[in-house]
Amino acid sequence: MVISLLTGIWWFIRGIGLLVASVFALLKGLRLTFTKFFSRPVTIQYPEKKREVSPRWRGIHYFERDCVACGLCVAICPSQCIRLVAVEQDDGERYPETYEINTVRCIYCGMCAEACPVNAIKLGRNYEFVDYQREALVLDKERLLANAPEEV
Amino acid sequence: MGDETVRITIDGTELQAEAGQTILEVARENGIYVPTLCYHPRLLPIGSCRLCVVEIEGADRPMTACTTQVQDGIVVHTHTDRLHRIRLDALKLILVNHPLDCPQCDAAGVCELQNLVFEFGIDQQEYQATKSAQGMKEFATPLIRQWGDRCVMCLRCIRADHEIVRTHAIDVVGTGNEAHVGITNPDACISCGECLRVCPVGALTERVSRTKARPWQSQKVLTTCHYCSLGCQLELTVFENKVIGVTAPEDRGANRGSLCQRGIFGYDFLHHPQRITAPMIKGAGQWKEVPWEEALSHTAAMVNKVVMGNGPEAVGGLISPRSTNEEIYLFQRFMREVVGTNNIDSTGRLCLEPHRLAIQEILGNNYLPYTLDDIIRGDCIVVAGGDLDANNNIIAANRIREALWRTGARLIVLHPRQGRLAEEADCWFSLRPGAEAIWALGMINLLLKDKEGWGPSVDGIKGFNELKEAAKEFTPAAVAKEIGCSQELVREAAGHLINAKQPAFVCSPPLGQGPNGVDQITALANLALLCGALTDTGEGGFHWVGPQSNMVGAVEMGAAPTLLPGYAPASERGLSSVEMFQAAAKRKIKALFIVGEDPLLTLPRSLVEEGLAALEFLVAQDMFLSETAERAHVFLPALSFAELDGTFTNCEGRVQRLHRALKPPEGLRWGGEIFAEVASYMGSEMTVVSPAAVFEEIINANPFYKGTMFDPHAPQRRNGSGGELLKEAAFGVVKTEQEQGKKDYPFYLSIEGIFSSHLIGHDHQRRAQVLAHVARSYLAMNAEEAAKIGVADGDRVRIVTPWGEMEIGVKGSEGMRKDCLCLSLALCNVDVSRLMGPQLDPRSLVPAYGRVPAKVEKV
Repeated sequence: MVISLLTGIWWFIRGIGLLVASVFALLKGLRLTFTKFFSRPVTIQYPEKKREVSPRWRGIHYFERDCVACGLCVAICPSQCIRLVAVEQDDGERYPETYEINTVRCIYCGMCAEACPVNAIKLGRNYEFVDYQREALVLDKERLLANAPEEV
Repeated sequence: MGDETVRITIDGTELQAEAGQTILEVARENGIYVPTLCYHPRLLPIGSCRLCVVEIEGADRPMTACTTQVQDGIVVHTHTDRLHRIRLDALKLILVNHPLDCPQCDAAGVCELQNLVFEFGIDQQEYQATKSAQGMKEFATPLIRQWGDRCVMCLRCIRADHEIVRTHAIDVVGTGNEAHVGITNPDACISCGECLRVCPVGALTERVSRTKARPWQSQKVLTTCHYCSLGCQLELTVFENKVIGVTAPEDRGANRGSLCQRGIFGYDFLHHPQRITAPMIKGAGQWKEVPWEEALSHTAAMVNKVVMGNGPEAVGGLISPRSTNEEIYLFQRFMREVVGTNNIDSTGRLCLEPHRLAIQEILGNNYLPYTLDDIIRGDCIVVAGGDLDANNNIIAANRIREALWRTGARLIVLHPRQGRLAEEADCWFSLRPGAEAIWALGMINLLLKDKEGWGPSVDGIKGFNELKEAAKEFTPAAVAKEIGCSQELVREAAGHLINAKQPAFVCSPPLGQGPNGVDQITALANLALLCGALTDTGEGGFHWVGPQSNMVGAVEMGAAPTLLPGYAPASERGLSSVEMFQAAAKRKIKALFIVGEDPLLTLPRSLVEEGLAALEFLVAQDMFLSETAERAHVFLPALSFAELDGTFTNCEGRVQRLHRALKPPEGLRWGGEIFAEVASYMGSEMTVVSPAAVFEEIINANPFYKGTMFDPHAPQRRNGSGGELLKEAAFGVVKTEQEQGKKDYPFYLSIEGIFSSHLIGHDHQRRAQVLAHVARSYLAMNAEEAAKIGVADGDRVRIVTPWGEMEIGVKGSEGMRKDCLCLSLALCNVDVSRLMGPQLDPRSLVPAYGRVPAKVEKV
């Protein structure tokens, strides 16, 4: 009889302990929620607001100056997304008749810019580049020139 | 080179070598790498770049491996620290004057200097010097750009020019630091591209293709050149389904890396906008594009109609000798089995037949087993017929030059004009075409006199006594009078032939393409047999080079009115090309199927025009709307050589592969498929799977092709007839013809190069646009004769023959026989065929391209 009473009391105390512990855990878990709830939001209201990217960011490509159509970017490109048709002018100068970067294939490694002997191709800081058609995501020479940032 | 063998040790390996070889040659043969820059296997070494230095034990200084000959017992080290330092410094010194414009240089990626710099790990120009920026310069030919700055003065271009082609158009100009490759004689340049191909850097670049591509962007496809019968092996550089350049592998084919003007620069016709890529039917004088089914069923219906109404004999077929063996074989099957006629011919036969008949008369064979390499082993070379240099057979001419200056062979040239080979010749006979037989008999006369007993090898040959009898009247005096040269020259030439251990004969059309043409070649072959050029061992030899890539294959596949595949005689003789047009004019032939030929340009024009006008049905298959195709009723577009899979048989009998380099335009099919489909519309079955399968069929049908493969692992030739060559030899009977008086036409005209411009168009079309810059057609005539009628170099004259006339620029030359004219065609002229008469040589059924009576008037 006594033994059963003691057991009952033990279970009662233990139950209260558990209750307190779980409420505490709940509150502990909600601490972040409550602190964030009353602090300023981290979400940027894209596209109204735009995030500043790191100076080393590798975004959409652009031509900084005239390409000499050497073909090194084609050679180095690991995803083989560059198509170049080099043409020789009458005076012997080479220029790219066609220069296309398939940005869907591109992995934005920036090796093309590194390989370029005349620093013509660069990876810009722009990352906004979407379309409904894959074909439209292929950058040609004109678009690459137009992509150049204004301050350059 | 001696036969003695020596033992040398290179890098610890004991090697056997022939005395006279250089250390570099031995090292290369045994796969030991020694860096080189100025060395080229086809050129004499000069040891100027110092990269191939090696150390020889016992010698205090390093030696250049390319110029040092091996000696018995020497121990050579090719890679030591000291050598590495020497090479590194040599390379750095070469780099002093080299601009670092690799990104803009055409050669980047295939540049030997770039490879060496990479190999030695040089990443900067250590030594600096003031650079003279020269930029791009005009070169001896407008087809090549020269970049003075990039030149490393290895002198390979100059050596190639002086040693292989021997034009001496370029040379070193200036001395010391100012020395550079300069143009010393631009007129001598023949735009062969030999200098371009040996240049290790980008100092010389080609100018044909505007589009350029790096080696990692483009593919190289090995194929066979489609121009002349030498069948040079070349690699088409293909970028985005466009040919942007041509190179040649060093180790393949008769050309060993060399190419001629056409081979290396004449590819832009492949992408010409005039190319037609859809079948067309002519209705009311207008071409209308139609689907393939309609064009082919219409063709079949029309041919069937003629066969029903007038019998199969009323149908004729002409196929170009620039078609593949497979196409030609299927075409003759189509004509013989489906249509049922032997009226099939090819202009390839017109060039080969006189030679074949002569060889058959003398040896009982249809072809000879010699290769062009045998020429080098000849010590007295006789060149007869066309001017090899002018006729686009420059590779054969260069082979002769190699024999001349490497082994000191003697050269005898028979040609009315003093061409480049004639200038280098020991004896040049300015004879009128057709007098070759007289010359040969004169030689035979002297040869027999010199050696009374010729031993059983010659005495025993059938017809020897008859030959002796026939040659009796051709004394040096008689020959000299007939040819118009001095007796001494005749005796000198005979002396060379008598002293020669291994004479060689190199002949080409238009020899044999005139009245009694076969006799001219028979006479020369008699002489060759007598003086020992025709041997079983294959040295020297008797060679026949022609203007069309598959000239030999066309005949061997049965594109001949008298021959089935494998030279088997046809049961019934069909009509030859010229006879077909004669028959058409008489309304005996009603329908013609012309594949890739342009008879209006290559056969007697008036006759062809008359024949074409009378035809009921003409179907033409070609890449372009040629003169003839314009008069057709149905036009079927054809594939170019770069789009074809198949084989060509060259003049030596090499069976060489054409690989498809370009994807053909949508819908286009190869000839075999077209013939099979026309056949099926006509109600006969001709199963055509692929060129490879057709080749299997050829092997079974043509005994000479047994053992050959469509895709061989090594270069192959169809069965040679060597070994027993002389078993049935007999001297042929030769009829000589004395010069006939002809009052109105004081000149003999020979037409050269008429077959070489197929596809690249004639003067007005200029489909090979870049080639047209340097290609000049002209009439060569004696300068005195030109002055007589009051024309100077470059003036236009009118050539008049009994059959027609044409206008062309004249080139007077001192070294030209007075009563001869030589029409040298770089691009075919539309009017040339007007000059030709309809007479055929009764034996070979070939019209006269040589010995046409003509006169010249000032325009």
